[in-house]
Amino acid sequence: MDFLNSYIGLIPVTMAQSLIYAFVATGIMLPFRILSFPDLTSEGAFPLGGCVCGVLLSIGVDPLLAMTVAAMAGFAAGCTTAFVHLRFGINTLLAGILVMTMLYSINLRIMGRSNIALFNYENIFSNIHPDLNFDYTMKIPFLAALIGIVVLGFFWFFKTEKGVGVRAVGANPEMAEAQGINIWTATIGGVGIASALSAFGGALLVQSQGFADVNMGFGILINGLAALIIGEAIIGRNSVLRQLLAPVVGAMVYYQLVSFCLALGLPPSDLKLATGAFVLIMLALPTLKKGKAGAVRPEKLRE
Amino acid sequence: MLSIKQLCKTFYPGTPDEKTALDHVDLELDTGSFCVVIGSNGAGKSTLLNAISGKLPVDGGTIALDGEDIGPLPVHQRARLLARVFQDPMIGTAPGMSIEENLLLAELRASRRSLKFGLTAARRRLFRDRLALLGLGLEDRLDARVELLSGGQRQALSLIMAVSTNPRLLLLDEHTAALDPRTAGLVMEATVRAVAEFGLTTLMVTHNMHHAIEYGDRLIMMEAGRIKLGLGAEEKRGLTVEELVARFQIADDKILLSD
Repeated sequence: MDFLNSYIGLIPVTMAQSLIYAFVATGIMLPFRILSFPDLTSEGAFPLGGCVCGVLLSIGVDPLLAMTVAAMAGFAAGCTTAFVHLRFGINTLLAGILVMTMLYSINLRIMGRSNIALFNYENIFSNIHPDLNFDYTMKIPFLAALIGIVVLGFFWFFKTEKGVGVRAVGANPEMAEAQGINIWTATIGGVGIASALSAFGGALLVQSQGFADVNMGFGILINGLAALIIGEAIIGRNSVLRQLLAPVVGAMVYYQLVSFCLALGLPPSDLKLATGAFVLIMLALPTLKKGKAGAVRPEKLRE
Repeated sequence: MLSIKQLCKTFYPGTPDEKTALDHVDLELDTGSFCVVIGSNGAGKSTLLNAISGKLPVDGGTIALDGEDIGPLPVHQRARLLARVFQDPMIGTAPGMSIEENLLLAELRASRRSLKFGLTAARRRLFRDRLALLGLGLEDRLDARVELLSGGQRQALSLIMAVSTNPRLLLLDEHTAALDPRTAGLVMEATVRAVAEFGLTTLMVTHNMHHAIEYGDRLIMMEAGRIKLGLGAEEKRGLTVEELVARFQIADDKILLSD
């Protein structure tokens, strides 16, 4: 039972990491589920947040400020994607790919090299308590509180007059417009906030792992999507609260699953194939259940 | 008062598909009047409504509501002044949201949306009272998702949403055409009641000749992007479908067949 021991030993580390990835999964869920705007920007916004935060920390900027700037950079990236879609009528996925691809170069420019070690600098964890920086078990409640605040914040927002309006944009844009809701503001703001969350997750991760790497976003999107889908399978998405909790719970379960598979001996290089196949099966399941003759009803999404 | 002057719209200009949808349309609608618009397919009825609501940019002409030029305003800003019920019940409501949330969206159409809690107890009571008027039992299903409702129920909800904020102009775009006769009658009845109660200025497009005769105090017919003929309340009274057809020299069987 060697593999079991190594897996159990990794549970706290994985748990802390998954709470960081929960920010990204939430950043993927918001445009996808609430705004019906499937968005790929997070694959670029996540490393963007990491790079911005890493560079700022390395020149001695206060960690809290560095994370704020990182989130703002992510916000700008998300706004760009939404704007490209609205203004030029470019498909949301393509708009996301364009922005994400351009962000790779931008991230390299920001850092000036492909990675920065951050072990020797102050970070948000060491700022709060020196032990917090190294002890993953201690990081868990801190990170859980952070993502909890985010979830509660959105839960409150989506109950307000403005928040109900934003949800209407995703539910039926034409109706939303006819009810006096500015689709541009809601979409650009919403996708922006989602990317800001991804970037914030990136900023947290570089501080937790002690280095920033321009390639850290590679595959984050499919991981986040897998987490979201697992979460929705467990929690459901019949209410706003469930929809908000799904990516968080999903991230926690998904990364434990990954850790378990790796402990079992799955080669890390095969992980993407396994994740991709899993997401595909989960997405295909509803149509498979209906049988061959069943009408495939594609999800209603903006083009 | 709605005042439309010299409104023009041409689709695909300069191509073989060029089509004049609105040809210098003039229309004055007094406050509180209920005007019915008929005409064959492609006559420009829907284009007219889309131009008024802001969905479609026009080539020329002005649209003013109570003296305010609304031409430059985008759709969501015109929504402050006018409300619309679409032909397709799916367009007028948000399917994944509850009945009360849909009503809340409409309730705030004319006002700034704040960061205050939306579905207050007072509002829910108000919504319940409004829905009760329909007699469809929707008042007991405030938190049900709209996608669970039938087409007729959704359209009735759309109507309540449109009239409840007392808009300065109500646009009805064949809003009973997709419903079965019984439900269509019910929705039409609710429409007439609301229009009378709030004294709404209303523009209703219909293909139903009986509705065209029975309802409203004014009747206009469009053909090839122009308003061809108009009847006032006096002339409308006692009109039969046969007379209407003769009067308007309706050559297009499509109108006759679609009642």
